Amino acid sequence: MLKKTLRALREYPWVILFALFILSYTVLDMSFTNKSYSELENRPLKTRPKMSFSALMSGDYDEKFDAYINDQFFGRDGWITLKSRTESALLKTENNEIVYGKDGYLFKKYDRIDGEKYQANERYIREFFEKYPQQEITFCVVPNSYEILKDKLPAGLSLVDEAAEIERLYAGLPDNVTAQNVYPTLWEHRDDYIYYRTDHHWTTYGAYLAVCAYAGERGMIPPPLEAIDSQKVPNFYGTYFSKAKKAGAKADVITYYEVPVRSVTVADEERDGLYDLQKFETRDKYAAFLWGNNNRTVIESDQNLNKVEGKKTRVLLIKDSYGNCFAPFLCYLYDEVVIADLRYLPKASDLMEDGQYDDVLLMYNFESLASDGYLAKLRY
Amino acid sequence: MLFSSLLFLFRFIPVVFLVYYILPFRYKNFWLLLSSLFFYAWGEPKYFPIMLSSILVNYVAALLLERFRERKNLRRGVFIVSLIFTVGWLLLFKYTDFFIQNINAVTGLAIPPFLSGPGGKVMLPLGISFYTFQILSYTIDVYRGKVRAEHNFVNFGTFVTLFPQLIAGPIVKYTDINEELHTRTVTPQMLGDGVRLFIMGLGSKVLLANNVGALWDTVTRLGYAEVSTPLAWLGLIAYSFQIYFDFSGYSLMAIGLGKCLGFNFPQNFNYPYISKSVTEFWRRWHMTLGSWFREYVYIPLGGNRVGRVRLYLNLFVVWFLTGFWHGANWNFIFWGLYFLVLLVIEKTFLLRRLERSRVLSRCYLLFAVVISWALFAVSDLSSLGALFGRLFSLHGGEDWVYYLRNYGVTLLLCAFFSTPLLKKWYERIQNRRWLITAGLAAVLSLCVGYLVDATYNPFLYFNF
Repeated sequence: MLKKTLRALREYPWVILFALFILSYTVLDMSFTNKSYSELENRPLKTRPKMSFSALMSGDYDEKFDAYINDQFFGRDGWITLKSRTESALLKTENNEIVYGKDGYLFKKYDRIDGEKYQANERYIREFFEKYPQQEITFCVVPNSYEILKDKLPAGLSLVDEAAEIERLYAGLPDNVTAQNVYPTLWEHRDDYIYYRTDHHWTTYGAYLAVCAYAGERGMIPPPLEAIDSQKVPNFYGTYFSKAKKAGAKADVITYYEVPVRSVTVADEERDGLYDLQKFETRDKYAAFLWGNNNRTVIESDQNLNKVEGKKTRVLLIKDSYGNCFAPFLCYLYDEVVIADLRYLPKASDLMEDGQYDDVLLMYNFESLASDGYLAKLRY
Repeated sequence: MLFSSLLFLFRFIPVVFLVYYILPFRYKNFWLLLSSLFFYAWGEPKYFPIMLSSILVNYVAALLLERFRERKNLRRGVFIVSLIFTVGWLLLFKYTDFFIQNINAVTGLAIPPFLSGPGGKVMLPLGISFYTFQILSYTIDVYRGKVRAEHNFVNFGTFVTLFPQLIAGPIVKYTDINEELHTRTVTPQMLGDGVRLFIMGLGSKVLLANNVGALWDTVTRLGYAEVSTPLAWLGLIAYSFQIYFDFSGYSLMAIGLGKCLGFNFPQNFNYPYISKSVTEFWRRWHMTLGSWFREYVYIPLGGNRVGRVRLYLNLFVVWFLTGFWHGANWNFIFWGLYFLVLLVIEKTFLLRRLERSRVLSRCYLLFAVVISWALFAVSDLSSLGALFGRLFSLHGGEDWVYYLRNYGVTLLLCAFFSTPLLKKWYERIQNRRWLITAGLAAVLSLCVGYLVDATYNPFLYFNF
């Protein structure tokens, strides 16, 4: 019977192939050990969820199990590349909300602001400014790469007008707050390598330009870029690449500066230097800067070019990850640099009451300012 | 569980089919019932008892209808109770909140919603509109004496829950498969057709529908009032393709899986977008729903063998219900009545002219249908107004350049696959089985790729 069916099925070879493919792939998929991290996508992969009665009844288990099967699918990277190539063959200039620009630049397709979150975050920031009227605060919002590199966007694509939004955020600030507009200097250098092609961050050079603008604004001497020892790390494929997985994307090069420091304290723990050099060996290279995002980091150095007689000057930088490659340059402007990331801190007032700061710098990338879920901590 | 998921392809299918083929025939239906219940409960087990209760009540009701063959009134009583019970669940879950909203709006009362959670998201029991209609077809036919009651509970349960068609159709009448429930064989040809149809259906859903659906999704996200007129049209055309390929893809997958199990489900779509009139369109679109309404509503009401006024009333009832079946909202009712108006116009004078023309009639049909999808897709009336504002008064802008470039090829592919050209070609190359195999392998691989890296894989029938 079976033999007869199989012989008859030779007329329909796709049936046999389909059955073989589904069966063998299922066995293959189930027998390979799970990976916990995807290098290609630069994110942790879901592992087998724990079964419980309540999770099963709510449908929660099923949802997690679906995600687990997807994340651990055998040959995942190959399938992802197949999709990305197909999308390109369909003449698409985007994949997974990442737009393919000119000269190998990838951009986030940021076409709409989450209005509710944005308004709330703006309110938290204002409240923060008003809470400390005696404190000099600088407010700096850094645009996304597409805003500066507009020429490289595909024709007809209109994204959030960050320049206009930043203008609006800067308007009507209280007296103790200075707006630090970095747009003009970034715009002026738009032909330089100021944003990564494959990542959502600015390059160290972009951050350096912002430090210079900041120093210029307050009459300080900027860091002497040429004089600082620098290292280059090639083969950086950033977060935009991880999302789009564009076949044939051009890798970025990370430059980092070996600013001589006296001590670096990350989360109350002394660290050796400003950079987590091991991270430069992995996919997640940007995480090397300042040992990734941590609650509180303190840098002390003797590099300050703007010494104030008889005083140890201090700056507090409240930032998102854009600040990580920016912060080291502040060593040339202050004796001590305190860096805080609200995502990993209970509340901002701990920091503010912690000590006297000559300057407080609140610096965020526009997109993370508009969408961040932790800015409410500024109020407390 | 969804067909278009890795879980279904690489866990559910191998286990269910392997065991199914190994088991002797007398256990096959029981295994199908178990698998189907698992399939249904996966993802949302809490509404599971509702379906079971409907199955149980109608199973018993049909047996009673058979036993009380001679006692007319008792028979009618049993029939009405089972009808109320079965339709009651549908009304309760699908329509209560709609009625409450409207009562609130008219009277100014503030009756709290029955189902809507805090986010306003209503979760219907999955597939309730589909399986309710299937169950009704059975009980009504038994009541009419058209078919004998099913004595075996497993067989009846299998009919209702049969996983291929459980959640998104086709609406299989009991009389369509009652013989196959008792005895059936899977021939090699059925396997050949089944696997082919399943893969093509999967491709329709994953490669075409999801892909163009993302364009409509973008237009919705940007806001109808924010896009240019060309982009609004592109978006609406994309939605028209999305709903067709999604829905017909699901039906194809269901039919294909059915064939692999030995069932022949009725065809559900027959290239509706090449129709020359709305009348023809509805003979080609969601055919099992149309025939269900014809058989269980329109004809019992007297069909077209009635006076003119009564005929229009009958048509009104059918199209009101057709619209309302698709969702508990005014826009779906308008959508149904919109077709009623066009059908009546065609019936009175237009149809004969339409059938004579080749190009113009198709342009008319496509325009009429695309507009109907706007009514269908946008449930909030002020957004609908905004969308129509964009469609019919010129708003410039360059945004469409980007989207035309990104979706142009996909839209062309969709247009191609909306016609029977591929089918004609297939009929010519039928003997070149390795060519077909290669084509199917390519479609399947691409589907797996898109499912692994899925960003947009919606299930459109939660409202149904």
